[in-house]
Parts: sequence; structure tokens; C-alpha cells
Amino acid sequence: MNCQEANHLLDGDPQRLSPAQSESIHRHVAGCHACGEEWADWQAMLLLPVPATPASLWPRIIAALPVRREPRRRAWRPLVIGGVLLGGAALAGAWVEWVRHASAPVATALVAGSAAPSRPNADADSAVDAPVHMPASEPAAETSAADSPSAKALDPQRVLVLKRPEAAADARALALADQCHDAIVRELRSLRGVSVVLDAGASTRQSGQLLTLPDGDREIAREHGAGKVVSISTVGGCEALLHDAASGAMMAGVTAPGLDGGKVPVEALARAISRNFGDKVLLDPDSELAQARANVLDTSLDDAERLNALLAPLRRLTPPYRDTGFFDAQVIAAAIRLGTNAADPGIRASVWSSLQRVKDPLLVKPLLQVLARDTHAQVRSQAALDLNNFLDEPGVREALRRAASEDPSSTPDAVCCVLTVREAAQRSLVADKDYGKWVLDTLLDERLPVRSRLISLQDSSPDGRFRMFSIRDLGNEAARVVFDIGQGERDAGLRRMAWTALKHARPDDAFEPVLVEDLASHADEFVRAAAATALAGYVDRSTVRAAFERALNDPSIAVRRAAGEALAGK
Amino acid sequence: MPGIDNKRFSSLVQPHLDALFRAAWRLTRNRADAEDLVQETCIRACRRLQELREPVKPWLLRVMHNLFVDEARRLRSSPIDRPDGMPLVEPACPEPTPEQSLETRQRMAQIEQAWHRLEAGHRVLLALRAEGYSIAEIAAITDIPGDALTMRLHRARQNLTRCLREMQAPTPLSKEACK
Repeated sequence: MNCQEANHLLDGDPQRLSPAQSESIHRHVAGCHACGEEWADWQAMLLLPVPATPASLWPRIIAALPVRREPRRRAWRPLVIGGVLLGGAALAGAWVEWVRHASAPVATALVAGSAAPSRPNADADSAVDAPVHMPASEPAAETSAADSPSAKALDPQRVLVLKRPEAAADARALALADQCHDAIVRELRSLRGVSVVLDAGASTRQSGQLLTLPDGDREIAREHGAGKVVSISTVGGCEALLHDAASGAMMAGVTAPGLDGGKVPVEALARAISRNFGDKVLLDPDSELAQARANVLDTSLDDAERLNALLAPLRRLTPPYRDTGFFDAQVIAAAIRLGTNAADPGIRASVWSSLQRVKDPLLVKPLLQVLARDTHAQVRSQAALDLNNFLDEPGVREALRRAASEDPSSTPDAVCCVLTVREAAQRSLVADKDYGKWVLDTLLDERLPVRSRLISLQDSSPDGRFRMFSIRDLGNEAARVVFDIGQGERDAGLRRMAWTALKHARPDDAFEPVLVEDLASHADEFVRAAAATALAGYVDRSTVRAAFERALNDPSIAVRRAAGEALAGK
Repeated sequence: MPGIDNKRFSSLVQPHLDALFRAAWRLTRNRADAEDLVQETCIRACRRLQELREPVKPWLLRVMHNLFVDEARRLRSSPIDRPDGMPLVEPACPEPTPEQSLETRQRMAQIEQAWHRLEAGHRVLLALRAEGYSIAEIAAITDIPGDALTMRLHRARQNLTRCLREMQAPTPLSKEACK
């Protein structure tokens, strides 16, 4: 009997083993060192005690269950609150700093959550489809007689804070966004120098509004004389966007993906948001960049502060989008030191990400050293991507080829879409002009793992190259290959990647039934959501439309959002 | 619970609360996370209350499995590092009894740590197996076919052993997750 046979029988029903089989198994385990160790460890694991179910758990579950209420319209009162918090508080939660044309998100330490989310606010409206009117959370500390809604000149240091839940948000999502909003408002109250206005003109967050402030919100801002608008949404848990009210352009965004599970302290998120938005509210763009430059060079600040400053030009979302003078020799040198020496690998990776579009030869040697020696795979991966700027410099191609074949971390941490070092190095060796062909060749290469074949066709990538083409550029053959991969893939993550890649493909009759079935019944909510986005181009077909209508009742907000967007033609 | 058939919900879900919590505990090894996982599973059951039919337990476990794996994937797909490289581990027995030897306590702590280094998919399989679910039941929960499931269970146990050996070695060989 070999190891595999023994394990197979041991995992079966012990009552169905014959005495001879039992004897064989035990003889094997006793004589095989590997199996003996394995089973001893397994038995030890079985002996780990499991505590009794807490008596408080069931009442807590009952209290957390959604309560259906009829949507109510509430009278909103304009409120005035003083102050904006300038950031400085250490980040204590996981959040993603959303940057236009972004590559890797800003990382920070993750702290395990404490209590579970509290029961949705009793005043929060429940689920599904109608626009939800969120009640004012608490009365303003101060009111101003001058703040009755009427047209005013826009004050660049007056901030209008709005709640903009998604139409598909359920009671739990609304409650979390409420907590987020309230925490931000509390932060604002503790600041001086900037006035903040709350208003709740009834509206929900629609897709496509990300980069531009909706006209309705600009009107509300004008009524209050607010030059800036902070919109808080339920996207991904809690999302806060800062817009310039005059131009409507988005200036910054922060999303906390972990907030949905109650794992990220809301207060920490609020401080992060306030810190990121504070400079933009208080300073004009040139002063903001000058302050950011000073902060990058200020070694008395902590690493997170200096990284935040380094990202300032990338966050410049109003024209001009990139500052041409920010990355001078001094700033680059400071960034190199931070990217090499910061204790947090997330910060190191983000530093190199911030330098991805800086084509200064000063970066070559440090990048090669980081690629060869940094202990964290994510940092090495980012260095590999940065080196694409320097393919013609001595030693770069050799270093990338070596990393592509020899870097120790060849196994991805996730199915999608964080590149391993080897993947990043392989990609980095491809010049932009050859990229489309490389993506197609990679897709068609059946020797490669499925993930590698699909990863360049996803909606985002750490080097931003996903913008260089869409699957339509690759033709119907490529779409069929992607579909065949997805259809045959039992791994939910890989199946999701395939459907995500099909998002931009032309409708194909052969794809429809499989995608519709996945939308209706796949166990993984993200596969269902990806199927919905892949089916968006089929929305005029009655069967697909009916599937979307049913999907509006899906328990997953991701699915409801995707279906809603498809029906709305977004 | 206005608007919800509380009798039906309780009758369908509450009998399985212990099983859910035990499975959640084995998955997360953390009381707060286990409670959150069970709560979210029950909330999802509530949303589907009209469709639920007996036997409900496999469906509940399947939902829990998907929630756990998706959350693990979500955490790992963002470039976020934990401050000390390991998740916070709540000891199963924060106050060991006098009868427990130091060696036993150390062994338990090592197994806890090795457990957290396993990838989420392996943790699910081992947790369900540890709770006594058969191959057929685990296959229904995880949607992994029987033959593949047996092989994955074997690999999961091998990885658990490998993690333990690495931790017991004089110099840690790797801080990467055990795959």
C-alpha cells in the first residue's frame, strides 16, 4: 500500500474498511515516516479544543437580521459644522487610496477587527431597489443663519458632505456607510479653518459618476457656497470621494474594502480620509505640491506621512494632472531611501509604485537592488514593473530575465490580480509596442497556467497596461478561447477572471446560456457578478434582461450592482 | 422581528448554530471572527428564507465556506501586510489547566500558528474534516469532486505538517504561506 492509497482509505468511511484494509493502513502509517508525521500532526490538530457556542450569539444574530421598512422621505435640515481635520493620525485600518490612472493601492497594516458591525440603524431603510433616504445622523453642533440654501460664491475651503448610497445597497451596507459618514463628520468637527456643510438632497450613487460630480450635487454645493464636495458611498463598504464643486472634477478618493466585514475601525478610515482630503481643501494646487515636496524631504515625519506626500502629484486629478517638476533629484533620492528602508513592505511597494512613471536613470541601480534583495515579493514585483522604463539600460534585461525564471516567489498570493515577481518581470520585458501581441500569444499558449493566460485581460493591472487594448482588439478567436477557459474552469476565481475578460467582447450566441446560468446560480457571488458584466452587451435580449431583473434580488450587493448597471445601460 | 417569519427562521437555522460555530471556529481560530462568520451566514439565510428547505445544514455550511474563502481572497488580493506577519491568534485555551504540560501548550500554540499559515482552501477542508463531515458532505459544501477532494485533503495535511516542521526548525525557512 502506498501513501496515496492509505490516505484515500483513511479519508473514507472507517466503517466500510475491511479488517485487512485497516491492518494494511496501520502498517503503512507505522512504517512510513512521512505519513506517520502527517497523521500525528493531524491527530494533534483534532485535539485542539473548540469552545462552546457563546450563549449571546443567537440573540446577537436575531438583533442583526435585516428589518423591512417602507422607505420614508425625511425633511433634511441644512447643517453647519465647523472644521476639517488635517491628517496626521496613524492609519490603523486597511484602506485603498483610489488614484486615477492608479497602479498599486496604498497599503497599510491590517488590524483584526474587534466587534462585529452593530445592528443597522433602526431608522435605516431596508434593501433593495428604490432610492434610499438616509436620515440625518445627529444634529449639528453649530448652525449659521447665513446658511439657508441660496446661490453663493464658492468658498474653496467650504466642504459639502453628502451621503450617496448605491441604489442596490442593503440595510447593512447603509448602516456601515452611516457609521463612516458620522465618523468623518466627527473628524470635521474637531478642525478649524474650514467650514463644513451637510445636506442630503436625495440621490443615489450611480456608476459613471466617479470622475465627475453630478449636476444635482454641484447645484447643492452652489446653494451652500461650498467649493469642495465629499461624497460618501456604500461602494465596497465605504468610499469617500472629493470633488471640486466649480469644475465637477474628482480630486481624490479613498475606499475601505475591509469595512464591509466590520474588520476595519471606522474611525481610522475617517482619519485617513480626512488626512488625504485635508490638504486639498486647505491649499491651492501649487501650495499643496510645495507642501508635499517638503513633507517628502522631512525625515522627522513617519514613513506613512512621507509616502502620502509622495503620492500627492498622482492624486492631482484636476488639470494639470501631473506636475512636471515634483520629482526632482532631491525628491527622487528621498523616495529611494524610503523605498529601500521603510519597515513596512506595503509602504516600500507603494513608493516604487509612485515612481513608476518617473524615467530618471537615478532609479536604475536601486531598482535592480530591490529586485534582487528585497525580502518581500510584492516589493520585488513592483520593482520589476518599474524597470520596464529602463529596458535599454545596462543589466536591466538580464536582471528581469533572471527574476522571471528564478525568483523564489512563483506562486501567486491570490488568483487575481497581484502579479508574482516572475509574472511582473516577464511582463516588464515586453515593450509597449509589443504588448498587445504578447497578451494574445500568452492567451493562446496552452502550456501556461490559466491565471497567467487571463491576468493581462483583467480590468486593472499594477502597471496600468490594461488600458492599452481591449479584448475586441484581439478578435473573436481570443474571445472564444477565453470563453472556453471559463466554461471549463471549476475554480471560481479563475472562472471569474474569464468572465471579467469577456466584458468587452462582442456578444456571441454560444456564450449567452452559460453566462446566464452562472448569473442565476453560481455559488460564488463574484462569478455571478462577473457573468453579469459579461452579459451587459446582451441586455437587449429578452432572456438576458429577465436574468438581470431576477439578479436585482441577489443577496450579493456586487451582483445587484452589476445587474443594475447593465439594465441602466452603463 | 417585524417583517420576518421568526418562527421559520429559528426552526430552520437555530438547530445548526452549534455546528456552524464549531466549523467557523475551526476556520478562523478566533472567537470574534467566528461569531462574525456565523452571523453573516445566518443573515444570508434570512434573505433566502422563503427558498430554504430541509436539509438546510449543508447549504448553511456552503454559504459559510464561500464567505470564508472570499474574505480570505479579498484580504490577500490587496497588498496589505499584517504588522507582525501573522494574524492575531486567540489561544483556544487562554488559561491552560495545571495538568497541561509546557510541551503540550507549546505544541498547541505551534499548531495554531501553522494553521493560520495554511491557505484558506486547505483550512476549509481540514476544518470540515475535523468536524467529522464525510467526503461526500464536504464535496457538496465545497463543490469539489470526491476524487479531487481526497487528494486535496492529503495535500492540506501535508502542508500542515510542512508548516509545523518549518516552525520547529532552528531557523525559519520561509515566511511565505504554506501552500
